[in-house]
Order: sequence, then structure tokens, then C-alpha cells
Amino acid sequence: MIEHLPVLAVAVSLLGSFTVVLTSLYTRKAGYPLSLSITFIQLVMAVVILMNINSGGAISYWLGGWRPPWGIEYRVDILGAYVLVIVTIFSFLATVYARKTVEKEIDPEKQPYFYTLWLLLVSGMAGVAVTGDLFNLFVFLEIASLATYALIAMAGKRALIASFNYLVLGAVGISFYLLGTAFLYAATGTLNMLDARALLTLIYDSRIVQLSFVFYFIGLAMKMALFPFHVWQPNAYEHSPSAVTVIISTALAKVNAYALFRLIFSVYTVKFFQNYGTIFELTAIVASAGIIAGSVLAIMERSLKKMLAYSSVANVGYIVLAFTLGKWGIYAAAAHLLNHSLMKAALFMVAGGFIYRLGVRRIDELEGLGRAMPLSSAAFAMAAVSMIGIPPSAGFVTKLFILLASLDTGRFVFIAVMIASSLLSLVYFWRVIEILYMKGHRERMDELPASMLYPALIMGVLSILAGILWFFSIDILDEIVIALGVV
Amino acid sequence: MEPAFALLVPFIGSLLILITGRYPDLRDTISVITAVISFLVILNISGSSLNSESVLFNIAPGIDFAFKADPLGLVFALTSSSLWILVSIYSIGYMRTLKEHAQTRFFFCFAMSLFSAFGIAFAKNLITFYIFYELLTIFTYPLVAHEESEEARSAGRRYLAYLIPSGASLLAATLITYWLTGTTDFTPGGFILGDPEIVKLVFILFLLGSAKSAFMPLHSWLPTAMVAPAPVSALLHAVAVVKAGVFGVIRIVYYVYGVDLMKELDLGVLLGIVAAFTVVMANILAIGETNLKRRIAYSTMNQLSFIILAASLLHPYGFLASVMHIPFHGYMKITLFLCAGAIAAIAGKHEVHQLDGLGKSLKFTFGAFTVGAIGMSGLPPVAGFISKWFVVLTGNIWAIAVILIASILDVVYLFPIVRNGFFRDGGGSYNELGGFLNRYMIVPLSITALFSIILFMMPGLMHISDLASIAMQEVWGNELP
Repeated sequence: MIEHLPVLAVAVSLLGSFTVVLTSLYTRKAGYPLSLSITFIQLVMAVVILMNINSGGAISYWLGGWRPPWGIEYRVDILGAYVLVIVTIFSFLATVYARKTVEKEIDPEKQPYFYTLWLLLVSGMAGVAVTGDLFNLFVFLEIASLATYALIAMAGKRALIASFNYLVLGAVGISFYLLGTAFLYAATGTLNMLDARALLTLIYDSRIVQLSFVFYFIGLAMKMALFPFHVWQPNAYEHSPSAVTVIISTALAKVNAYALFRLIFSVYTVKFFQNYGTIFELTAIVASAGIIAGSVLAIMERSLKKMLAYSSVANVGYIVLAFTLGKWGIYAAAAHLLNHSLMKAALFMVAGGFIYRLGVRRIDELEGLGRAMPLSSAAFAMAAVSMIGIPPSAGFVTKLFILLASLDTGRFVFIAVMIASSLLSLVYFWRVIEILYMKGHRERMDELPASMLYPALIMGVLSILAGILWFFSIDILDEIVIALGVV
Repeated sequence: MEPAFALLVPFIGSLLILITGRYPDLRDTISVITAVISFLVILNISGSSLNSESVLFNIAPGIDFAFKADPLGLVFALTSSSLWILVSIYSIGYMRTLKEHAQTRFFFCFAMSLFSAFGIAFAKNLITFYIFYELLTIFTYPLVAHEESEEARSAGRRYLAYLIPSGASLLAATLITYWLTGTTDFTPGGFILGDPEIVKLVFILFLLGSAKSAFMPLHSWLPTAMVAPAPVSALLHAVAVVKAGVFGVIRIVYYVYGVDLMKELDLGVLLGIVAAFTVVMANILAIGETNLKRRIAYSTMNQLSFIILAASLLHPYGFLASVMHIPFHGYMKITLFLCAGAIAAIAGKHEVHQLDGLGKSLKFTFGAFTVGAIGMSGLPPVAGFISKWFVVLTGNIWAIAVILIASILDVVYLFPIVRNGFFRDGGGSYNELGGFLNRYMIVPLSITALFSIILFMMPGLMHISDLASIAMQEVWGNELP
């Protein structure tokens, strides 16, 4: 049974999305309960998969029974399972959160299609996490992206422009990814990741191989909004429906980062980069520039959701920077895939909640909400403190790992980058906290509806607690490092 | 008992405060009870389980999240926990007299600040120390910006603008220390080693990381933070924040670097110069300050740098002076702040020149203020004399000269307040013990004044002098002169 789970985890939501379309012929109300149950089933599957993978092992599933490397292989190792769990957790929570916001923001006629696309997006993301095939990964990325473009556009008006911008840049990005795959296929003759990894060891010198990585990197950098390819992101986050912002800023952003993670450590491997240090150096410089630029742009921003979007630009920079920093860097990157999702989920859920309840988008309109809506604001404040990296929060763990990694690899300049970015994030997050709690006065009002409040609150509390919990569950990071063979 | 219990009590207490926020009487009772239990737990540890440890979990190879109740930490913890009892009683009177808003947030953050202070006191290694150091900053911010006026917000911003970057510097220093030595456990006599240039650089980073001790030029957050309510100022100055700063300096000098290394690299001299400069400059600035609380704030800077100066002498008596001045200054300074708060709450006076003749009706308040002023100037029969005398015993002529100048300046800016209060006319008449709430303020400040004198006569109270001398033996080992 276990060996079928990877494909099932993708298939249930794929079939589910068609089911929603069919049910829409009879009722418009089936979308939400179906999505909720399907994402929950996926979450359970993902947890079962994670618990059944022992270190170094992997679950391999041959699609259609074709033996890899000829057939498509789904291969879930500990890293894939971990990302699958992240994807499904945040898909599930975003679905819980979606109900009220969708009712309010989406035209009732379109709501079934919303959930159709929603489940399609979830299958795309789950597919990326489980696949062991480079071309298949492209397909799933594209499924997820196309669903996202349409979901963003569903908010109408200015979201159409935001969606179109994203579509153009996303299409360029995915084309680069396809080019990379083509070059790699030309050099190795295989699309299977494991196979490619073995074949590549002989031809690290090849210009085609090096170029293929550059294409992959550019393509995925556009997808995950790494500076300077981030321009589509602030508007897309700002104008899309609140639930869509939550799912794409947490699950989808991490899936794109995971794709790069996978390529760097499972396909090209560290040896490739040891031969071509310049590629890694350039990556680190781009990432550092993104960290600083994202933070500065966030300081200048006045809209809450856009500010959070720029903060995501900086945080993607953390993850990519961590890739280049050796063993501790992998700890940092893997931990931040989860940590950043926890924090951003809480932040975007509350930001969406403020829009839902009061229609406020600008930061200076949030005056006095700290006491008017104490629980929602507390969720925001806890996540914000974690983003700044105050110990013992989740954000602090990432910061600590990256700092240790920079010391370990002797690249002290990144200590300065991390500290600078942490201080910059203090500036832009504390401004919000100050306005929420220390300025203005509002009468006590109702909290957000339970389906929006509790996911946000849980994520907020976890973004503080995870800092401590990580140290108890550090084994999973150890196993990821061992599985990637980077000791 | 393990030191972790001392942290558990205020943590649970603060959660209860949050939950019972709607019932002010219950909430405030819980706040006082938490303070009392914390004190009893810490007193118990200091009596029966010195050097006990609690290890919670592993952070990185060689770094545990762990606590250790060592003598130095206990001195700090005893000071803060005993003063917390009095301040929490005082806060009830003060906050209710002035009908302050957001009292639940206030008491919650207060308890969490003490939680962080105990964490700092009992931290077994630099990482644990750093974690609580940052927590203290975060939980004191809502207290500093409590008034929610533009002035309070800007004070809050400045507070964070100094202390968070300073914390980052501390983190950098901590991690470099870890990288150099593979451990961060505090060891009496020091443990850091490596290239002298790097070790010196790390010391500078540590020093920048100690902005909480408000030495110049990293001091300006402290006077502006005076916009906060009086119990907060008392907490910041006498109990938690700045004491955590100087406590950190002592930890770093004697438990990370050690006497020998400090002497070898001439770092004691560097530290001494910074401290001596602040001691004198703070007092000169205090003379020109007309706001009572801000004037006392400058006096705090002076006294804190006195602690650093005494520590920088790298002499056993200097060490004793700096360690014992933590509780002594705590009691004396809290007296002054509670007096300033009581004057503000009862008479509504904030400026120094408004205080003429107030001593005639506010007898207890001005009496206590007088005790504090005598103590600050290092005169008997108040505890401040003992620590200054220890510095004299070290025989370091420069330090003695600096302290002499500082003490004269102390007299210049504190005694006129006492004189004008008692002997000039005006100011109107107030019923000091009139309201029930007033007594919540007057009783604690009388007690702290009384203890400032009792500590002079019995420095062994709460094991303080014993703990200080055990710490001294740890640090110097058999080489005591």
C-alpha cells in the first residue's frame, strides 16, 4: 500500500478537481467540502509517507509499470516527503481559511471553478514534491502555475493585470526550465533524476551541462520571485483573493524553491559546484542582493500585503543563500521551507482577515486593531516577531543555522548580510506592530470568523514554538542531509 | 530545586495574568503571588542547591539550552525577584491611582520581563543568555511605549533601535566564540582562546552587545525611556534591563575572558576608560537635567558604569564591589524611582524645581528619597558605601579619583532636592497616606529605603555577601591575594 501512496497523493486532488466541475452541474456548494476533505486526505497520506521513510531510503513508484529510466518514476525520499507534508499542511489550512473569503470575494457562479482550480493547484504542487523525473516536474510546475494564473485573475479588476504580468514572467521562467531540461537531456540522454545524477558525474566539464544549470536557475528564480525576477510578485499577492495569497505564498513558493533544492543537491550534486565555484558564488551574491533589496523595498511599501510580498522576496533569498553554505546551509534551507511558510501563513491570513472584515489594505489604516481584535493581532504579532528572528522563534532558528553555516564555511560577509536583513525586517515589521498596538484607539469588535482566526492563530503560535520544537526534531534535518549525501 | 523552576513560575504566572485580565483584582493578586513564589524558589535555590543545573535540549553540538544556578547569577536573580515583589505591589497603587489603560498588557509584560531576567541570570552558556537577552528587549518594549503618545512611541523606537542591533552584535560575538572554542559554557576564569586580534575584536562586539548597561556613547535610549510609567522605570533601572546589561559585562569579563586574558590583552584598561568616562559624564549631564525621573536616569548610568569600572579593575575587591553593587544599587535606585513615581501620582509634580516644600507633607516619600540620595553618594549608613569602600581597598588610584569626583557630583545634584523639599516653602499640602491606593506606593518605597540601610549593616542578607565571595573564589581559584 505504502508504495502507491505517492501517486495517490497527487491523483486524489486531480480527480477531485474534475469531480467539483461535475457536481457544479447540480449544486454550487460541493466545492468547499470536497476540497477540504481531499486536502485532508492528502495531508494524512503525506504524514504516513513521511513516517514510513527511514533515513537514506525512498519510496519508488513506476508509473504505468515502466521501469525507470525509461518510464516516469515517482520517487519520494525524506526531503520529498517533508516537502509533501509542508505542501499538504498549508493547502489544507488555506482551504479551511478559504471558505469565508471565497464566499465574500468570488462571484457565486464562479465558486465551483475556484475550487476546481484550487485542487488542480494542489495536485500540481504535490506532484512536484513526489516526482523523480525532470520533465514530469516541468509538467507539474506548469499545472500549478496555470491554475494560479486563473485563481489570481478570479478577483477581477486589477487582479487581471497582476495575473497577466505573472503569466508572462511565469511563462518565460518555465521556458527557461524547459530549455535547461532539453540541454540536460541532450548531454545525458535521460530525464530521470537519479539516472541523470549518475551520468552527470562523468561530464561535469561539459559546457552544455553548465549551461543547463544556468537555465534551470534562471527559470526557477523567476518562478520563486528571487530578486531581480520578483517584479510580478507584489501585485500578484496584493490583488489575488486572500485565500490564494495564502496558498501561493506558503505552499507554491516552497515548491518552487524545493525544485531548485532538488536540482542542486540530487541532480547536479555538490561535486559539480565544487568544480565550478563561480556558479555558487554568483548564486550567493544574487541571493544576498535579494535579501537586502527585498527588505529595503518592504520598508518603502505602504500596503500591508505588498510589504509581506517583499518580505517573501527577502526570505526566498535566505533559502537560496543557504543552498550555497554547506551542511549547515542545508539545515537552514530545509528548516526555512517550513518556518517561512508558518510565519507567512499567519501574516497573510491576518492581512486577508483585515481586508475581509474592514477592507483596510494600507498599513497606517491598522491603527488600534491590536486591542479591537486581540487574537487576530496576536497571531500577526507572533509571526512578525518570528520574521524578525527574535529568539526562540522559528525565524531565529533559520537565522542561527545560516550564521553557523557562514562561520563554518568561513564566509563572514554573509553574517553581515543576515544581521543587516534582520535589522531591516525589524524596521518594517515593527512599524506594523507599533501601529497595531501603540497607536490610535478603536472599540472592541468581533474577531475574524473561526475558520479564518484559528488557522492564523495556530500558525502564529507555531511560528514561535517551532523555534523550540526544531531542536527536538532536528533528526529530520539530519536525515535530509544524509539522504542528500552532503556530509 | 532546579533553576528551571525559577523560570517556570513567572512564565505560568504571566499566562494566568493574561487569562484573568478581565478581573483586575484577581489579576493583580496573581501578579503579587507569582512574585512572592519566584522569590521563595530562588531563595531556596541559593540556600540548598547552589550550582544545580537543568539541561532542557540541545541546540547545536556543544551548545545546550541549559540553566545553572551559579553564585553570580543568584545574586542577580535574588535582587530582581525580591524587588519584583515590592514593585508589583507598588504598580497596583500607581496604575490604579492614575487610571492607566492596558493594565493587563502591562502586568503580563512585567512578569515576562522578570521571566527573561531570571533566564539571563541562570543561563549556563552564551546562547541561552542571548535568547533571554533578546526576550527581555521585546517584553520591555510595550512597557516603555505604554503611554501610546507620540513621545512614547518614539522612545520605544529608540529603545529598539539601540537594543536590537546591540543584540545582533552579541549574537555575532557569541557565534564567533563558539566557532573559536566549540563551546559557549560560562567558566569561572574564562574559556575563550584564539588569535589575540580576533579575541580583541570579539570583545568589542561583546561590548557593543552590552548596550543594555547604558555606557556612553550607547546610552541615549535610557533617558528617553523615562517617558514610561514609574514602576517601569524602576524595573528598567533597578531590576531587570540595565542590571542584565552590567551582569552580562561581568559574565563576559570573568566567565568568558577571565582575569589573565583580560590583563594580557589590556582589555580591562579599555573597559575601565569607557566606564570612567561614563561615570563622570553622566553625573555632569544629571546636573543640567530638570526632569526628576530623567535626572535619576543619569544617576543610573553613573552607577552602572561604576559597576563596570569596578569589574574592569580585575582585582578581587573590585569584583566584590561590582557584584555586591548589583543588589545595593537595585534597592537604592528603586527607592528613588518609586519616590519619583509617588510624587508624580500623589502631587502630580515631575520637574525638580516644583518639589519645593513637598517634603513637609510627603514625609515618608522624601525620607526614603533622602536615604536613596545618601546611598547614591556612597555615604554611610547606606549600602552604597560598602561597594565604594571595596573599590578604595583595591588601591587603584585612578579608580578612586574617578569615584571621588562622581560622589561629589552625586551630592551636588541629589541633595538640593532633599534640601528644597524639606526646608523651602510652597508646593502645597498633600495627604500622603490618604487614599487606600497611596499606601500601596508608600509602603513598598519605605521598605526599599529601609533595606538599603539594613543591607549596609548586614550585607549577608539573602546570602548576598556569601554568594559574592564564593563567586570570587571561583574566579580567582587559589590565587587570591
